[in-house]
Amino acid sequence: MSEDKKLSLSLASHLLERPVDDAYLEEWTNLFSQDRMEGNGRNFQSVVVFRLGNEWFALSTKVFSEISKMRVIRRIPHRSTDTLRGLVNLRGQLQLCVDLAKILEIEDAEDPSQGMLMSIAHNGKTWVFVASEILGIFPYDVDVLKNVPVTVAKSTANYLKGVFSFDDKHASILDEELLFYSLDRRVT
Amino acid sequence: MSTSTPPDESSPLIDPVMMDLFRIEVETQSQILNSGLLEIEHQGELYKDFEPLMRAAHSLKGAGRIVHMEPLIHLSHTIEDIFVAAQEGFLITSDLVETLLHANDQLLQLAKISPAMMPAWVDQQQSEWEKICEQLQRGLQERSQGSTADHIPEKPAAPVKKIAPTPSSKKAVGTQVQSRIEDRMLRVTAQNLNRLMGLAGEAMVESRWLEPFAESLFTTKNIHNKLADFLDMFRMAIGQKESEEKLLYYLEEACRLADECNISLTERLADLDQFIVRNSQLSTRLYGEVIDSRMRPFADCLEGFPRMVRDLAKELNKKVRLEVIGKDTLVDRDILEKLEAPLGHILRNAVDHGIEHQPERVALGKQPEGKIVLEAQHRAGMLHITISDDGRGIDVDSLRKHIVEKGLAKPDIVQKLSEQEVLEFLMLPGFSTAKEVTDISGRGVGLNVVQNMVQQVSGSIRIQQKPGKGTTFILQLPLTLSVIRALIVEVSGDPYAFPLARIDRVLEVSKDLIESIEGRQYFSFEDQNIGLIPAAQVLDLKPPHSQETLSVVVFSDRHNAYGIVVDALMGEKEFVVHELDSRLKKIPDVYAAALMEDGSPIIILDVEDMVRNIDRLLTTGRLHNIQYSAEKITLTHKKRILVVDDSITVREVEARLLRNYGYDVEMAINGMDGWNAVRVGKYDLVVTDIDMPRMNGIELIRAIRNDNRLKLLPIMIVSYKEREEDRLLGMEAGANYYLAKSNFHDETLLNAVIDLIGT
Repeated sequence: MSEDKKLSLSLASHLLERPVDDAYLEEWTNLFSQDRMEGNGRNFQSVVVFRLGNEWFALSTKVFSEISKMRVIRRIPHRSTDTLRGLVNLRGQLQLCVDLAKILEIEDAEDPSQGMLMSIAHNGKTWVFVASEILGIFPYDVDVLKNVPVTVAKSTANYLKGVFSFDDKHASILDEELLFYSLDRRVT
Repeated sequence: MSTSTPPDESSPLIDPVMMDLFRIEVETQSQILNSGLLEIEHQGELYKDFEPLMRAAHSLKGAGRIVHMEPLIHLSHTIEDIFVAAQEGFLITSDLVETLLHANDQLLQLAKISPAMMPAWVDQQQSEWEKICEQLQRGLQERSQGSTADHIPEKPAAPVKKIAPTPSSKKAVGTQVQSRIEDRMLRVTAQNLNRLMGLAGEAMVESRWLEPFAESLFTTKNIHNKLADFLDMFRMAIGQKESEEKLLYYLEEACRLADECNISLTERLADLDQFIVRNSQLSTRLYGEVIDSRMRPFADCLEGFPRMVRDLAKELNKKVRLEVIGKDTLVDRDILEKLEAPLGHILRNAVDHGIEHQPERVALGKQPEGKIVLEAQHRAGMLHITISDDGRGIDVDSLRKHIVEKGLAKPDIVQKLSEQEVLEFLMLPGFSTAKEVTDISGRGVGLNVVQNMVQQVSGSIRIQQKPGKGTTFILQLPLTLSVIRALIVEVSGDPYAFPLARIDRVLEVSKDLIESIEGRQYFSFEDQNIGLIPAAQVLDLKPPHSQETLSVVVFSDRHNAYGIVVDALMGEKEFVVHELDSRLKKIPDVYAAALMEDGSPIIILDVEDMVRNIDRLLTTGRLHNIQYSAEKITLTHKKRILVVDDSITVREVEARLLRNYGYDVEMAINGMDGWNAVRVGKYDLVVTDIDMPRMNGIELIRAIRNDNRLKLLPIMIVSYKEREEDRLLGMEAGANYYLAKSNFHDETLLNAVIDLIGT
């Protein structure tokens, strides 16, 4: 390393590692502890958009732990007539695969043996479901959320927080808390 | 939080990792002390090995210092002093041993408390510990007298406290076992862990070999490309009618390149071959090492036994000693866990019923002290555990009479039974020959439980005895539960696994050999009639098309043989057992799951369960009518009520009341739970309290009224608050009715509900 380079490196680290004084700390603490400004900036949340049947849905990105290609789902004797589709092997662990379309009471869901596996987790428990298609991760503006149209079936509507638009489509955002609550109740 | 240590600028907040390590330290050292103290008691004067005990006490003192636990420092210091004195010739009397054991019991208990609760618990025990310290110190001061201690005290010394810890100390501070099973800590030997690390590291290194290999294949591909180019040029040259020389040149180059390709590929293949060998060796070793890490030495489950035997004997005025052979024998940790209770029971039985009192023993020419030998051994690929005592054996004739008396078998049959068969009756549920049910044994529950556990792990148990000489229990268990050899079959298009240990035989039976009686099919094999049941039926699946030959898997229990018909037999394999997710409660007929070679899941069936269910089906004649409802689907038109209250009593009372009247009731434990439930379920009425955590009743009501779909849902408030303001607040929020709990009679609630939603 050249002498010049060494010198600039040490100057840089000197600059970056200098001790901070209390006033500086105080200033930044105040800044971070301030309430988020409403209405001024826009409040974005991130969701994963996927398709079940003919409709697009969205679920908070935070709850996702994995998305993978379709794998064998093995039904469990005496338990696979309900919302539990069976066991699926993800990375050497057997996970529970549920039928999200059934829970949301969506009709004309597609061929159950095609699609992508979506793995969501809550409280240390993982649930896997099959989506026909995954569009990707999108931000949506919480403040601009539209209401769920009246035409949506009552039972499905319970799980929806609202509808948001992007490109030329719109996706219904699922209420993850309610979803997990419902999964816990139905399966256990 | 803790008041046992005075606030001190230098004492840092004790961090939970430290407390965890502290707990392990206490556990280890107190166990050393426990075994040592028992030896001291047994050997008396002859015991000399105080060094390790002294060190154990010293370590405890040090640990106490680190976590600032004054009482522990004091107690372990006193114990240490005693051992130091003992090294210099001080004789530890049996009374002192008693006190020391009592002190150590406290430490053993401490080791079971969850680290977070420790300071509070120690606080509670402080006065007890101080008393113990005083006793110990008094014992130590008697050193000048130095009287020879007798090994066999005629009567237990009066001032020494009761050995069993008082129940209050256990209950007062919730001795919380780790809250989640997945988080529990396990002991693994350092050696094992080191080997695992080594193998894991090697696996990483091996995986890096692949990239350069892929690159080297590119080189081969390039040569291939060049070869293709030359062949192209050759073809063009022919078309353009070039000279023979040129043609030959192209052809020769092509051949040369083809050779190069060949050599290159051969080399690559050889490399790959070696990689495959290394990789599979590595994987096998890694797998083996991980399976090994499940093994613990047999000694791990023996912790409390020597002590238990000694204490129990003392209580019964006998002298019994437990000897253990094969402490280091490796046992699967899951089996080890299950062993504790059954072994404990057999030992208690031996002390209670087997070993005679001292005078009787002496009269028979035996040693006054009874001996029980507990041995663990690997033999023929199984784990053999034997418990033998040198007591009075079992009176088989008396047993025969007892069997007849209990009506379990007719006298003439009982006469013909061999000794082995008679002894098996001992393991029937509810069987007890003890004249009275003592606190200890004789309830007739125990041996049956032992047999159940043994069968659960696909093992076996045998009893042998010699009158006047002693009794021996022999348990045969598999070495590991985590790997199971199974038969793979196909039922209704899916693969299933039957554990081999439970299969009697596998047969292909041709259709013409099948007979039927009363609509039930069976076939004859070696003088036995084996009933046929389709697996598809037991498992509630689609039956196969009719077949010319049936594939039958035969199982039997004590009385019958069953032939389960499957679609096809697929082979045999060893599987690593994956326990089912805890969210699925016990599923009928299913034992666990595993992964097949292609990575897909396979269900391992629970043969015991299947046999039970088949039995039930056959006797109730409902072979074709299996119904297992998994979902709570309400088919009736009952009205549904949601009861929301954080008090479990109130919830239960209200629910019972309403259910008795004929409503369908579900419960929620607080406002938030209620809010979730009301959106997910479909209710006709909500009955809610006001004061609840996580969203109170008023907030819940407002949320419901604000929701488009739920705003017309009838809501009733049942609350302790009965001031006019509270009532107004509730009604304004949107409730339809307000019932004060003080006005609560069955009638008022019911009438109000009927008023609101009818019956």
